[in-house]
Amino acid sequence: MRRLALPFLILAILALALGLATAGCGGSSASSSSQPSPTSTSHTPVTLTVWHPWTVPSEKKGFQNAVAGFHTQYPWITLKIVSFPDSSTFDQQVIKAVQAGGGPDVAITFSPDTVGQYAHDGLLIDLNPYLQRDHLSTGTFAPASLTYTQFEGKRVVLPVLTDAYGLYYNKDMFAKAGISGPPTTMSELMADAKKLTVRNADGSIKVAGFVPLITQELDTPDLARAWGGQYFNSQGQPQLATDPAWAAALTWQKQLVDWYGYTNILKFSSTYTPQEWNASNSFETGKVAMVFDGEWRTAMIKDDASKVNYGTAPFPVADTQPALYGSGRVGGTVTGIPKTSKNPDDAWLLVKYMATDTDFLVALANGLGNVPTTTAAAESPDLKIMTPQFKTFVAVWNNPKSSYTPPITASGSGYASLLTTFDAKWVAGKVPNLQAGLAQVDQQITNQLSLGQAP
Amino acid sequence: MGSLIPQRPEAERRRLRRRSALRKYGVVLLLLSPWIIGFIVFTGGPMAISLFWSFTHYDMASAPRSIGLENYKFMFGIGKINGQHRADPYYWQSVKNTLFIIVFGVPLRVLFGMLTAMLLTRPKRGVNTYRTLFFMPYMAPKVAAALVFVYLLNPTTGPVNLLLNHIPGVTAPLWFYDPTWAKPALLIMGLWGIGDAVVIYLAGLLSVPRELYEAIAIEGANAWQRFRNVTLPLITPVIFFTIVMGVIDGFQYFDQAFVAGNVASGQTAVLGSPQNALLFYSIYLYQWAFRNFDMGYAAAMAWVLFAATMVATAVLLLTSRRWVHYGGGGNQ
Amino acid sequence: MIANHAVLIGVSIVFVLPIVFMILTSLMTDRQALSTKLIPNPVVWRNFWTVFKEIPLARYTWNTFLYAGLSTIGVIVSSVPVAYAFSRMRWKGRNIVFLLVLSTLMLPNQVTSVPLYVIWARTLHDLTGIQFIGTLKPLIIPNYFGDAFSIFLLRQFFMTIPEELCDSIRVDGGGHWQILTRVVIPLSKPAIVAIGLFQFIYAWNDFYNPLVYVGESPNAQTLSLALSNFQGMHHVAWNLTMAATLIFMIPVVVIFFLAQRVFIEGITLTGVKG
Repeated sequence: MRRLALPFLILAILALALGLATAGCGGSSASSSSQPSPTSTSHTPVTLTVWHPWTVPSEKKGFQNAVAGFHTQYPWITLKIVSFPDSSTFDQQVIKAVQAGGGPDVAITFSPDTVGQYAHDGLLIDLNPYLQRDHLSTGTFAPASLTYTQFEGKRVVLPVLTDAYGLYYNKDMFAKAGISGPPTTMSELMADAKKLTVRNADGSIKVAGFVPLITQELDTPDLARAWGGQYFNSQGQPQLATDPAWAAALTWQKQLVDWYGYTNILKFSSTYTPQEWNASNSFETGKVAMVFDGEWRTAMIKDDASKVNYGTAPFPVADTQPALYGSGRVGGTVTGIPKTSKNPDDAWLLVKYMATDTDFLVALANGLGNVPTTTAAAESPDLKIMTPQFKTFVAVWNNPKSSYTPPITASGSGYASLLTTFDAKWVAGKVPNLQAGLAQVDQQITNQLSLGQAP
Repeated sequence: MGSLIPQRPEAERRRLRRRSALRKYGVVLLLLSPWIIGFIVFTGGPMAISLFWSFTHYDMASAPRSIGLENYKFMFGIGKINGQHRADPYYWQSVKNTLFIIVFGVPLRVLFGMLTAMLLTRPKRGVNTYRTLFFMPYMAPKVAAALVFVYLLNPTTGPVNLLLNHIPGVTAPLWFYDPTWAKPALLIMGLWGIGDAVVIYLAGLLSVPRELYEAIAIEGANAWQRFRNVTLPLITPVIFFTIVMGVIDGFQYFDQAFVAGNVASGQTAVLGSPQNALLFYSIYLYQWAFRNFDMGYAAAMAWVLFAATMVATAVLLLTSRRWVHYGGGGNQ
Repeated sequence: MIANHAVLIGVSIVFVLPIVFMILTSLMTDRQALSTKLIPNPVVWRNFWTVFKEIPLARYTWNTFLYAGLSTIGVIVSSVPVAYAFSRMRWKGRNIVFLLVLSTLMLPNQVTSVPLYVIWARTLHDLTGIQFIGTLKPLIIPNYFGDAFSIFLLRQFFMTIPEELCDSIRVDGGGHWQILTRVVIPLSKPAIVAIGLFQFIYAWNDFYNPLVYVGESPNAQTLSLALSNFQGMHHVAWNLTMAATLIFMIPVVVIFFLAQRVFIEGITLTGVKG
């Protein structure tokens, strides 16, 4: 009997040892002081490690070319640029490295969703002292940037180009239907959508004016934004049930869905849904007259050589909220300095450069097609992407009421799918009481965010 | 030739035996070493770690923080927050989805697999061709199968609905776009892949001794009696095997549902579309681990899954004595 | 009898239909693939060429081949000695440890993949400085440490080898190594080929493991991952998707036709004797 037990005992002990090694590994180093030293005059040569998430070769090159100007401006700083094979785990790599006491001097990331975590856990340093020291007022960046670069009072990242969303509309279809301009209110949007819809002989949809389903880029917070809806209240609790904007938005949505017929609009979207990213895109092929989409669509329409004659405009707002017109969803690439960096002052120079240097931003925007985040860059004559349609998105970025949704939290954005799933049930007619349903979603969000907090 | 080996004293013989035993164990250890290392690093170790994590909050940003039973309480809906019931909103949905695919998928597989195999016992020629044809889709990659069936079952342009729409009085369902029909659509996809069950059942059917059929034919038994009294008892072992494997696989059902849900809804942000109909247990687990990066909770879910698998297998094994006949022969 | 044949033909048609539609769609233009027309007109043979041009399909095929090939070698090399120890040697506790090996077959993938991900991403990365996540390494390496299914099949087969053949080696003064290399392995070629083929196809079709360990890393994508991402990451339409899916399935089909007997016998062995 002893002979049998011994192998198991050894296996168990080794397994446990491995477990402890994995689980407990990564002690945090002493946090470096976040007080910036006064602007130094002596310049010892230093190498800064930069981690970025770009994986597509043309984009990697675009970044490297754009950032080459940094060394010219700060000749004592050499940049060691590190790319990663997998952008979806990029943030985890940063987190893990910083926890282990290492990591880069500067990190660039695609996803604002983790910013809350970075701030809450103190993994990136607060940049406010540097911003103050260098007299970079918050006016340098559009106020909307604060919705995804700041959390719990700490500004841990700065924006480096951004996405912005608005309404794309088919000018030919508008002319044919006798509509003079894009809708600016939600009731106009609904009226235009109905007018622009073309049906087949059997009643099924041939061309849809506007598809109100949460599909492709449209998300429920984008509809609620039209009514000024806020996800969380000032205490950080979800208020989908108490903020009337959400019920208003969802009611509007369902009205339009019911006008189409839920089955009809669902079947219609099934004919093109997976094809968002190629030339069969529903808007480019004239299947829909209006669509909610991001600024990159302008570049894609050009690259796909689509013949659609289109215009862009900010997404409409509620009839009762005319002051909100011009705002929309924004958010994109950000950059910050891990707390473990040994050269925070020099790292700040790079962060500042990437966030504010006009030549850099213009070069990067030309390469990637995203919205430049400073006025100087947006107005630069070297910017090649500023078509009339693109201007809309720059304006959305600068509108003070624009924001990033879903709001960042200390545990990421996983909670957002709860509302998306509820929305799908709602438009399918499976929710008898909207208020009660929204209250339930609030509870679910509270539950989900509470997981892991100390009981 | 024929020289006598001198007898050694007892103690020395014992010592030699012990040494050769040790040497044998040394060889065994050496031969088993790849598997042992693999077990520690890739199986046993991770299992122990995952059990440990299930009692912590671990999001890879900081070290695991012990929270006792909180993960399990959240999972099973025990406890309150803000005076309201505190529970994982989709946990039971994912359990129900998984049970659905097991409760309906496994019997369907057994039924259609057996019927098809029985069809194959009759012909004398061409059996191999048919068998190959039926087995092939089983070898197809699950991703491929999912893509094909999302395309085939497209509500507007797919051939299946084009056919159904021609039948009067039938409203063709929206398949992967309708939460009521999404899982049945997966069941249909599953029927395409019953080839391995067909092959196993065929082997089982063919191994029934012919004498038994002849014996019962003499007594004037009809086809149903032949099946019930001779065939059925003797193929219960293979049926049992496919049921156990089907249940174990059902608990881990992932690939087809993951791909079908994403492709049909055209996005990967929300898993289990439409409306969580395709949110199977493993997919939900994946979401917690690799989307929300809550490793502790995902580990808790994984261990509950493991426990459920063991319980189900044990129940199947224990109840099998009632209806599975082992050993050849022995009819009523 | 005729009715039987008729039903069989009918069932066969149903089984083959999905493939037929795949082929038809892969030859359509993009617009036609989204319409209700079933016969391609015009027939676009170029799709099979286009799909290689539009996305790095060749690279993904190579990745899949690397994963399948290297993992197969690993499974064979590591499972043979283990199976030998379980079948050709008598030792105390043999059956219990074998049960342990078998029981790992019941282990849900997810129980181990969550911590394994972290082990690859952190522990092993810290120890060796090598980047594992986002590459094929976490997929291939564990296969060099034995595979329970292969061990099971090999053991069953090894046990059928007559003891006398091994005795003759022992009489000549040979040890286990000689028995293994001169008797067991040569006689077990069919079984070894079988487990090799099973592993190759399993790895070729594998989706979950690449999803977890490779993720969206562009260089290490395997075909199953790439296909599931076709619309998202690669912006590809249905006709090309079907073309690529067919290309994905071709090696499986070819291997299967060449080695049908091996597969069917292998499945039968596990099912009937399991």
